[in-house]
Amino acid sequence: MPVTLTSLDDVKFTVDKDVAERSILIKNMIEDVGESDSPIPLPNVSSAVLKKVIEYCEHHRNDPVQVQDETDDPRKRSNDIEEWDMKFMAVDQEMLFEIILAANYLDIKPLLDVGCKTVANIIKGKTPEEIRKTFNIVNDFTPEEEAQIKKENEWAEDR
Amino acid sequence: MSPHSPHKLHIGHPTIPTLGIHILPNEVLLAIFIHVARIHPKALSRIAQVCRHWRRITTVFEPHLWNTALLSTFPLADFEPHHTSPNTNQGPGYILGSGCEASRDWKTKFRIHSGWASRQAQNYVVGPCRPETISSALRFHPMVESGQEDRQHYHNHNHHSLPQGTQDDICASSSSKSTSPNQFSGSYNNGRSSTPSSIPVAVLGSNDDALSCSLCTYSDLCVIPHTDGICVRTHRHAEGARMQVLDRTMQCCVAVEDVHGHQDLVSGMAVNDDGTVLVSSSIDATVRVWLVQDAFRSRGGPGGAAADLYTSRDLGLGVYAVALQGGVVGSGSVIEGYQLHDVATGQLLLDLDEPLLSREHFRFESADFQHYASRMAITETVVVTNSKLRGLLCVWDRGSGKLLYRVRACPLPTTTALRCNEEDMEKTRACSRSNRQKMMTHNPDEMVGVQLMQPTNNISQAIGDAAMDGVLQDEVETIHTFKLSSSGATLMCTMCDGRVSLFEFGKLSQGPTKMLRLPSRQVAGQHQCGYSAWIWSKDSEDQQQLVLV
Repeated sequence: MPVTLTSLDDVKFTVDKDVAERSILIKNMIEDVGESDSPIPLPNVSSAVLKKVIEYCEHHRNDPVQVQDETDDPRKRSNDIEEWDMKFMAVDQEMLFEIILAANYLDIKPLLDVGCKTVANIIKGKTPEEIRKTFNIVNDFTPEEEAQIKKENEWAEDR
Repeated sequence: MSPHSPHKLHIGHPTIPTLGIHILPNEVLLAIFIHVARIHPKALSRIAQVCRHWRRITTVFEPHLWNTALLSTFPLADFEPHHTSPNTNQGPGYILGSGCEASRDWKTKFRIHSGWASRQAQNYVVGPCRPETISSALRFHPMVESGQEDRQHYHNHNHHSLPQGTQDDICASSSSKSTSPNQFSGSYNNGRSSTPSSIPVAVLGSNDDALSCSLCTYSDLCVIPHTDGICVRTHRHAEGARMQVLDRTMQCCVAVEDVHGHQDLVSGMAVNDDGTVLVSSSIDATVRVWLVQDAFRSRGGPGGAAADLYTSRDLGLGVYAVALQGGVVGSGSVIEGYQLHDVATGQLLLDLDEPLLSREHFRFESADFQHYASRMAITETVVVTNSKLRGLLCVWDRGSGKLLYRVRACPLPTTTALRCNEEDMEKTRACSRSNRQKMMTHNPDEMVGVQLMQPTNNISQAIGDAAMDGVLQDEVETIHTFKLSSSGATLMCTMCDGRVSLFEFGKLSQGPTKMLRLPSRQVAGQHQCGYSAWIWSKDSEDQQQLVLV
């Protein structure tokens, strides 16, 4: 049975129920309310982002549901990003963060994970200054603080 | 929020002040940082330098982040707080390794392990000093000296409660000695010391046959952690195996007599961090695991001398080295190399066989084996063994058993180093690639306080280069023995010429180090390995102190 989702800008998306239920938020809503034809409003998600999210959910519709316990042990977790996901995440920064935000809101953990990994990979190998530049972050440390912090973290720098 | 609301809800409407990463809530940022910790741990420290907001998050969740970084980078690391026995009588001076706060600090642990992994360490070398210099420079207070029979008493009047200090590591180790007896009493002042107390560091009286730069140590010593300074010692004896239990004052000395005991000379001992298990190896080809009984742990008294024989394993050939860490027992012989076994099941985990070129092998078989002492130590992530190449230590990955690299235990004298011809240098580079020479040699000029340092040199030739040629090998000093602190942060290596080399892993540009040395007398002959123990501590001002005994 298809489910209709309404985005922030009032665009309607009709998707299969198992696709929509990749989102724990929507899954819970459907469970709470029961089967219904009325569209589900998602006022936090724009149509462009929702389209991407649905694309992700459709591709991963048959994935087994993750068990929470397995994901918490850092020794067992895999750090790899699937090839498809990698391509899927090859979007501009704004969209990337919108997708992460939507995944967080819609409670789609695998998508959130992939998003976070992607950002982590962007951070990789960059100096603090480069990170700031990449993400448009303002350096709000005083020079003294900065010197102090730098000293604290000296050990981690490769020589 | 009901999906059936008649009006669209706009409460969560993105009132985004800025775009990009700023739209992410804190919990998502944290999730990203956790991924950073997992994938690129070293980037964690950079994240903290980006802006205040990020720094706040990393500070609040520091333990979690570093824990993640640690476990994903070093899966073998064991970070569960060690359960200490209830009758722990642990004075501040007896903090050993995982018993202390510092080693439960993920960041510190991470630093140490990545120091090992990426060969980052500070190296200090202490050369032999002349007796006349010592007597004038050191303020010694000779203490108990009752040199009866073959036993000495040694009190080190260290000051126990370092003010606000984190006493990083204390490790007592013993090397076979060829110095004469009666030279090991003394104490030191660090200027603020007022309350003398003692860290018992046993120094065994030497017999005439004390020369031992060979396979089997003349003597070995283990301090049992979390006890009031109880030691187990062993030394060569004409009648074969002899293990003795000593209390903190070294007054009581009880021989361990057990029908299951070793049948021949005991070649090495190791104790776990909890002080509950002791392993010993013998040239009768067995490794024995002893459970340290509570009676034995409790303070003093010869009553608790008995230890249970737990298991014994026949390795076929003589065992000359033993090490213990977190349920894994390592053993070393000459021909078979080194092995790791599971203590509980006896299963062989790893077989460490040092890869050698044929000419290296030939050199070892023809000459160097005479100098080779089988030694090993295990940390949570690496295994350190003596190398069959002279003057080098091997560092292995504990998980895979892969040889990571070799470390030159003591830098070569400059003249020797310069004689490396171009070809050798090429090989060296090929061998250790980009990581070469990351070991920093500490500049001894920075030493303050009681200076007894006689710097041999300050070249940074510390990193192992397996490609040293045979000509040079003759000038390389033989490693006598080495020990690791229980947290794995410090490696001490004694050389046959009396030099002591210390590596501190995971530390860069720390404060100056005071070196204090207790005297050792020069003896006739070529062997001058007199140091049997060391104490490494750090006070509130981040000044490090090192006492060599």
